[in-house]
Amino acid sequence: MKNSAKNGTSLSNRHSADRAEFDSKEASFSSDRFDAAAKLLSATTVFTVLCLAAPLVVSFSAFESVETANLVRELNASDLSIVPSGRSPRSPESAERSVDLDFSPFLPLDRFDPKFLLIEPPESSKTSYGKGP
Amino acid sequence: MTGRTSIWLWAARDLLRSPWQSLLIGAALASVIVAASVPVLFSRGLSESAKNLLQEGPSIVARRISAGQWAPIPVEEAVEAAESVPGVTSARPRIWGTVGGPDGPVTVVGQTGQRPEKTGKPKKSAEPTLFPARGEAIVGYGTLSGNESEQGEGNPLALHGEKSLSFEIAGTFDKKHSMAVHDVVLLHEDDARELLGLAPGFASDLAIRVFHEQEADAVLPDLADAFPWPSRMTTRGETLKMYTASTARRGGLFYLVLAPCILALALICAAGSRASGRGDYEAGLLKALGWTTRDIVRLFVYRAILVAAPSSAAASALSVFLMFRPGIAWPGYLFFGWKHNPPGFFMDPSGAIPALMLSVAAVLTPYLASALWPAVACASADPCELLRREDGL
Repeated sequence: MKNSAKNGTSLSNRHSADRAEFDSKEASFSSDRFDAAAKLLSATTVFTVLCLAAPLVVSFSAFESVETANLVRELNASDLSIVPSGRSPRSPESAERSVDLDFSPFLPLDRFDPKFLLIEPPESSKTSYGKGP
Repeated sequence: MTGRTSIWLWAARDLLRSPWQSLLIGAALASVIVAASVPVLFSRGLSESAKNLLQEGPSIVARRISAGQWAPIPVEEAVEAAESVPGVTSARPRIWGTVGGPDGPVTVVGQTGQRPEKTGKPKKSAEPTLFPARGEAIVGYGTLSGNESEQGEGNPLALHGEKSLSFEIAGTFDKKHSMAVHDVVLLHEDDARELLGLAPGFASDLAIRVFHEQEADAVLPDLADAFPWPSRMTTRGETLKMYTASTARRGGLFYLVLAPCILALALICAAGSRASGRGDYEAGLLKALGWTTRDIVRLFVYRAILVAAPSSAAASALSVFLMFRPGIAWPGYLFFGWKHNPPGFFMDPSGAIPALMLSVAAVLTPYLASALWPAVACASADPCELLRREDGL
């Protein structure tokens, strides 16, 4: 009887010890998980802020196009030089068939219309210039 | 349930339970955002840059047309006629045209301005003078094919127009001016005339400036009356419209393709969450544990934001880097048909933020809706029902 009571106490103690160990492990495990979650949260916040700062900085940074604009003024340029010569709408030769007009296969440009905004002078002006006898 | 911080932590903890899935969704979101924002940023950047640069150019360009073709314009008569129109402040002849270069067509420009007198002061920059002597050429980088050391300063440049002539390269325009002069060869006026076959006293066209920008369209009929020959006139506004409208149209076409991709991504995210049963089971469990509907919706939304925020921020940074890094060359290959040696783009990033936000919102709205919808559906259901769904009962 005494033995069984002793065994019971011992079992109870062991159970309590196991329980405490289990609780401690679980708490540690849970704490580890929440630590990792907190770290992930901080890292995500820092990463997001840094990435968002880049476009903001670029957007508000001064764009140094003054020298290029001065060059455009010097040359009296009326168009950009981003379309290859001969294909650009600025080129009179783009209306000629001798110039290769195969534009980008991805996103084709409009072909140049030579009659675009063609303004005829009035009859009175026509007769005053270049008319033969 | 506890405060918002706890829910953020709980959401982060949830993501750690399936990190690879979260990473995959984040990567998919980022790639769709980059694809959506690059055309918009390109359109915006190009139109802003074109506006900045071309506002220094002439308001109107008038060319003479004869039987559907271009014809040389008599300088004195044309200038006199143009300057007689009220509102016109100056009219300057331009000598230019397209001729064959060593590696394809190039744009030849004859310098018609007056060479400034030397003041004795040394030049601060290393920029070449814009007044080449006879036999000399100042070239943009687009005219040098490949090896700059073999074709740079001091080397000959053969051009084939009405005549074939060779020039000595006296200087090159800086790469930062590529958007304006990439394929330009600047020659002495007489050399340009000879190369293009223009007789003395004639020019290619007339660059006209008006007092007010708004007057450009209004003076066109008067200019047409003033010129005694048929003429084609292009205003600065039309040129700008060409860049803005064409790139915007391309961007719009691209969005037509992209819209189903965005929708598909949202549906995949929603279906994935439903298929795994995580949404229902979690919501049921949390409700049974005493979470309120509001907390559960918050948890789902925070979890979606934790994936969406870093991926969209990274995608925004990447898009801006791809579009506004000085000297980018890939738009030349992709959009403008350059096969080699494309111009470097130096685009104006002002106004990029609203365009970028629009693209990010276009992608994130369906994604967040796909995250929110199951949360709302679960949060309003009975917890027992939700737990039964998981057990297949």
